[in-house]
Amino acid sequence: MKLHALLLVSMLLFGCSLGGETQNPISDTNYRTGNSGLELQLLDGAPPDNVYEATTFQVGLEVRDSGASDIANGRLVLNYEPDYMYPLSQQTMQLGLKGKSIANPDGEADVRFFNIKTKNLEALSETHKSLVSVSACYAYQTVASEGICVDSDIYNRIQDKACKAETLQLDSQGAPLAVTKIEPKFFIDDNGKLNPSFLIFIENKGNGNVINKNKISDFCSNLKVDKDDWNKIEVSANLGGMPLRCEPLPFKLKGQNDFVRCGLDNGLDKPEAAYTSVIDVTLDYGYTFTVSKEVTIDKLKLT
Amino acid sequence: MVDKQRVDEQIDALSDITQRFGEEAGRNYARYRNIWKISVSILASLMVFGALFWVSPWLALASIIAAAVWYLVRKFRASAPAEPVQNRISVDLSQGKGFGIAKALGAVVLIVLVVFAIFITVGGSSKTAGEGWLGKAVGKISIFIAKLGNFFSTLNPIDAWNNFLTKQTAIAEGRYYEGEVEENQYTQLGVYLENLEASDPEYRDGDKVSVWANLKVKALSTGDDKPVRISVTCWMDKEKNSGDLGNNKKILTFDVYSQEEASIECTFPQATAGAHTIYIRAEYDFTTLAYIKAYFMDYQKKRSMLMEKLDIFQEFGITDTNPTAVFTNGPIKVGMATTEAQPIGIKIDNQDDLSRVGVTIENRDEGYVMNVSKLSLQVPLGIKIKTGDEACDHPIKEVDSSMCVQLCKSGSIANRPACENDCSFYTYYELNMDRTKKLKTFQNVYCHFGYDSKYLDNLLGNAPISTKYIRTIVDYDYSLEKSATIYVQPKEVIA
Repeated sequence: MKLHALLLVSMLLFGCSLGGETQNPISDTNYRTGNSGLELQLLDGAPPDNVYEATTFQVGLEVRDSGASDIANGRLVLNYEPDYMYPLSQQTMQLGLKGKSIANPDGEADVRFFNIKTKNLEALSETHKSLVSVSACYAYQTVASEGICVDSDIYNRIQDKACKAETLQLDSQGAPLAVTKIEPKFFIDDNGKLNPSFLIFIENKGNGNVINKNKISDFCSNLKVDKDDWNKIEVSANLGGMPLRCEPLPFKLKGQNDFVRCGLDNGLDKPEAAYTSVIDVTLDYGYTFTVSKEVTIDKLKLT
Repeated sequence: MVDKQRVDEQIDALSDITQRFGEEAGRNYARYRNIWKISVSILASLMVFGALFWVSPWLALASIIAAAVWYLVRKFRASAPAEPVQNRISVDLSQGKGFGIAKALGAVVLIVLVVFAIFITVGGSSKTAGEGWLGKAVGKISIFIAKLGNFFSTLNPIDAWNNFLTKQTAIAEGRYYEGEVEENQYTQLGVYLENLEASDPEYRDGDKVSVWANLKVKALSTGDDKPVRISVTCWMDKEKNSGDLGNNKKILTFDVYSQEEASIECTFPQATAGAHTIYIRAEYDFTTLAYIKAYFMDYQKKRSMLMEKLDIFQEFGITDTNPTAVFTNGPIKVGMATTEAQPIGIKIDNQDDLSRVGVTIENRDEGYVMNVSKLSLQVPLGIKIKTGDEACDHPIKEVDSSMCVQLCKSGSIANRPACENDCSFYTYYELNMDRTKKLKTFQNVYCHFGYDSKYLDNLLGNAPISTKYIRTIVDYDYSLEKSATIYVQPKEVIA
């Protein structure tokens, strides 16, 4: 009896205190990290390296939303050589996946298949290499929310203040498009109001291209797209709940790295002292990329 | 007089060099000048000898003897004492090590040529050839010479040079279209004559002579149940002297559906002494298919991507960025190319833009194409070749899909309906080729094509970029020829 009591006490003591590394509470985990959005991976052997003529095979895809936003109305389109194969199912698929969350820390995943049948090779042909690819087009969102110092002492005359207006260096927000830097600028206008403006630096850190989010289906089809539909981003920002006006609008990312300027139109009443506020930057855009594999079609029987 | 003037000029030059740079420099000048002159002479002699030999071995021998006589006479006349040259530094033009080596080399070449020529002329003569080592040597050399003669007779340097120039010009002008043979893991397609050899190592004057060869045929069914028809003939020295291919047949005909290997024996009742060349020729009809990949996308989409400096192929995971035509194995090469930069941008509202597709048919075996009986083009629906005079460099007409339907028959029966249905997604054209024209080197064909607005959806597909194929099917008759050389010993030797 004494032994049992001792064991019980020991279990309670050690069980509670020696749990290994310290774990953060689930609610503290930051899901807005990383540069992934939709991840698309061809399954091993689907499609296979070699396939015979007049036989069916599958193109298998593991799709996962590894970013922090949800994907709704995404589109997958199969690209194949119609002279050598044809899909047994539809050529396009709709995609809807939940991003990383407390309930699903790795993001929602799914496996999708396109069933394909190869055609007969030409009479005199023995083998043919054919490319099978799947393009993905989806709308996505990047949200950067950071504390920023609102400081009316623009010439730094006050030494002892709560915070200083400094450039924020950021890395990623759980999306292929990242806000990498926020550079604050303050000036006081003729009315004595404090006018904050921010240079927001944006970088495409993913493996694809930014597209107009309103033309997702055009990009993943044979339809025409304009030059302005590439790299088109809708930028919105607010400072402490007050909306900022961003320009240029519509914003077009030039190269992989560019910046947008956002400012408060009416300015702020000049604060007595520096204080920390929150700047929220939201980027809405479409994103596209392609995965591909070469399949060798062999003649089934040489006559 | 001219010779004396030339020698004077040379001595002047030599004196000048010796005075300016010293005696050693003068000696070197004389040495290298001699080497150069003699090397050029030897090379020129060899070329002249080759050319004469090509015409007649007798002529070659006569020319060598004439050259030797001329040289001796010239040497004899030159041995008379020359007048002393005033006010010049005397340096012997024929002194130095270089001159000695060149002289020795020249002598060796001359001796080899004379021996060679004697063997050529004497080798064929039954009167002088004997048995034993000399007889065998004569036989072997005669065979060698006969082979050399055959080589020179088939090698027409003027034609070869013209063909080379024509091909280089076509390449430079972008009218020669490349292609690569389909990777073939099984076997070569076509007709092959292999292991052609005499049935006996030695023949005597009046003996029955026969040669053997293996005829290998490998064809893939073209679906129309049409076999490859092969006609074999053989002859000795001249085409009219035809041989017996068994059962007194002068022509042997085979019908091969897929693959076959046959042994052929060509017999001649008797042969005269000397070297003889026996030819075996196989004539057959064959088909070669070639295709080239073309990428199509909406013109506006292509333009927008290029303006964004995006690599279109990389964006769509395409590795074959510069498609080359692929042709099936066989005796000819079929190269193809389109002139438009890939991917080809299709303007929905403007179909007048014209691109060009070119086809090169080139002989790649030891024979030649007797005639191209049919050249067909299969283009995806949406592409249209205008059938007017200016569309192609040969008359062209649109034909129905029977060619495609026929090809479907070669596939599995289960797949046949789908295959035949697919035939409606192409347009077919046939070019009117000159059937009398032999093709020993290469021939180009080209056609301009535009787009048919009714079927642009077929061309663009449902994806951002589509891959289509343009095909060429060439039906032709081919003649393959192989030869073996034998030596028949003279009768006197046996006696």
